[in-house]
Amino acid sequence: MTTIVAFLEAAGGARIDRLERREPEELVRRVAQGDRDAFADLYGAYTEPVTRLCRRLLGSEEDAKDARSEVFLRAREALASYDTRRPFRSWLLAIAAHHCVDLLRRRAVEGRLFDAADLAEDTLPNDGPSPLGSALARERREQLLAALDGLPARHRAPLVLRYFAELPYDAIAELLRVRPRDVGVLLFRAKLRLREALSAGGFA
Amino acid sequence: MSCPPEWWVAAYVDDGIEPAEARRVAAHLVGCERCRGRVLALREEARALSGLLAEASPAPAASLAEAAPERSVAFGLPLAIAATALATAGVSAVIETLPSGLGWLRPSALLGVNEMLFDTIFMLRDRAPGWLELGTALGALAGLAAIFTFLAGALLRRYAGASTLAALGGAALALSGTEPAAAATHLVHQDVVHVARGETHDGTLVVSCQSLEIDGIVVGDVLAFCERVAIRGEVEGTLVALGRELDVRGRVADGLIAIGEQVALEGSVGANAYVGGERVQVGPNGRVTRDAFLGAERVRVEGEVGRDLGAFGERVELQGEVGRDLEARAERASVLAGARVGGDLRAYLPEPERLEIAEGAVVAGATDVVVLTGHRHTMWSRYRDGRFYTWTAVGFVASFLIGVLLHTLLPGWFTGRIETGRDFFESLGLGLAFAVLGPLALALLALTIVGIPAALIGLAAWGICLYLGAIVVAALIGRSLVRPRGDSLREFGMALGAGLLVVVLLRNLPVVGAPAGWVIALVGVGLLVTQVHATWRRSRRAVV
Repeated sequence: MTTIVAFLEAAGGARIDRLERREPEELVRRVAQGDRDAFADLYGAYTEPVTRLCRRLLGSEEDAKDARSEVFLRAREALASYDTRRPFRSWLLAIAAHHCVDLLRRRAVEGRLFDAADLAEDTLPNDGPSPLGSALARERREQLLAALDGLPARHRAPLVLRYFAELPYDAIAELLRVRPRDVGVLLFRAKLRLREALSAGGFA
Repeated sequence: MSCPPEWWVAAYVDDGIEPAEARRVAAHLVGCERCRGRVLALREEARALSGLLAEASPAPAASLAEAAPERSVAFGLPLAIAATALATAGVSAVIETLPSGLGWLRPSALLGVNEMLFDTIFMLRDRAPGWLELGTALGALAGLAAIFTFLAGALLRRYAGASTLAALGGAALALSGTEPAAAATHLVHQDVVHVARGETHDGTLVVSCQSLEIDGIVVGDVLAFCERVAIRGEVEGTLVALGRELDVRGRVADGLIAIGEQVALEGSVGANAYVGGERVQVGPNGRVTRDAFLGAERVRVEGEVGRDLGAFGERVELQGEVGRDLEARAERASVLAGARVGGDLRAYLPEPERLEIAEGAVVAGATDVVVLTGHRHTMWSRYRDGRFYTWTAVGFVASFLIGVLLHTLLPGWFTGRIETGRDFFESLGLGLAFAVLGPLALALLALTIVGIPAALIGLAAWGICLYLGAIVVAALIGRSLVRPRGDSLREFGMALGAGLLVVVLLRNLPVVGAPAGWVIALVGVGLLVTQVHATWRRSRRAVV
């Protein structure tokens, strides 16, 4: 049984690996050697996910475009530290997330994204609006994205990092400079806001 | 323990809490239906958020086409099942009607398939190195022990206290101390097993060997898994034998259950005989005291059957004596000169002329030939039979109750999804692999003596998986039809009921029904395998 499961695991993993590691090693090596065309290729291959992450985190198209070029510049400088055994995509998205969270922090009052009320566990309701679940069908996507953009940065950032960048809690905690336990509180508070926003719009 | 707050459950769903904390939540979930419902709802929400955020903004045309994926699943899944089933039925129909020159293409008629099967099994048995056999046996035993320990422990902890557990443990210890030293069952595994003339073996004999010969007496049952079995002495119990050549010349005091390529009965059987194989023969000195059920390509009875004889095969011949009725289902049946049937003769044949009664033969009762007509009759006739509807209804209710029970115990089993044709065929492929590899692995397991009971249990589990697979698919179809609001029992029950209706209808269609049943079961099993795999991956990630 274990063998079968291991086999399935390997088969599934291999497919993801093929998608994610198709070319970056070769490209990264050439970029490190100063190949300008290679950097253009890398840019072309990953500009879309990077832009989308910035767009979701920052909330506007212009900010996202500015952030994108900054992210690629930083990536180029940090290329020496890239471990080729890891998927390039997640390495690059981590840089983008860092950059955008820095921007959000700079925009916030006194450079602090969260205050004590955001992190308080005991004020979280236990009988708030119910999870979005099946109400969140695909045709609602535009409304969901609008509601997400309507949230304040302190609610939007945890949601995007968790469900778009799919980072684990400890990575999010590090980025947002809170404890891993706080990530759960922030995420839940953000979800409540999202649920409220969608039901107030008459969609849920 | 009171319920954890919702945000904590949400963090648990996201793998965002420490493994020790996660185990505590998991333990709470076992006993709390409300929180299980919460977990399902939160998981659904997380999945929906990930899914909607991850996908690139679709082009307008694509978004229109994808606007109602759930509805399309509702119609697409039954359609896909029906199409696959139709293709299967078509191919098998073509194979069935092949011209005689191409008959070798027909899978059921492949020459020597039986022989090859036996060859393979015994080759593996002979060649398999000892450690392999030992390893398989130990692995199977350890696995079973683990499952039973887990089940017993979990159930006891749930419904009794730790004190009961301790008391039971003590009782078991006390019992094991006072157990009689001599076990009545003997397991023998060697090339040749011989109970010599004049020798008496006390107790049940379980044998796996190349050749088993009993010239003496066995006081007990004999379970034999051997290439050749020859009984010239006596078995004071039941003989259960699986082998290539079975030859019973002595006496079996109780029943005979045998499957073999060639089975010859020249001695006596004290009770009923159930025999299957390629050639089954009851010789002139053979005698079955009560009923005999013989199924083989060629069945020949020259000896005596005390009561009824049921014979099934391509060719059935009777030259001996049957105390009461003879029932034969065959391509051709012959009652030869010297034969005697004490009661009625009932024959199921393709044509009345296929029954041949020789002049010297005696049939005391009535002779009745039932002509088996072609497929058209059998295809529609069952719909005219009231019992068909009763049994379909009973099956529906049973599936429904089992589905509800399963959903209460293991809600995770129903979270699998099929949204694209690729999902469908992946599930079908996985299910097919399971359906083929499962029995193969079990056959290997059965090669070891200790493995036989484990393999039987495994076979049952395999069948149950196919059954549950169909229920899972029914629930999936139902959910896309009904679109339940939430995870309450009522909503799930509605979805399951609707889905089961579709599945039962599909399954009972003429021609495509049978293959559709298989496709449904296989897709379901594929979904289950994917689900188990995903759970395993998640749990491994939580531990790391």
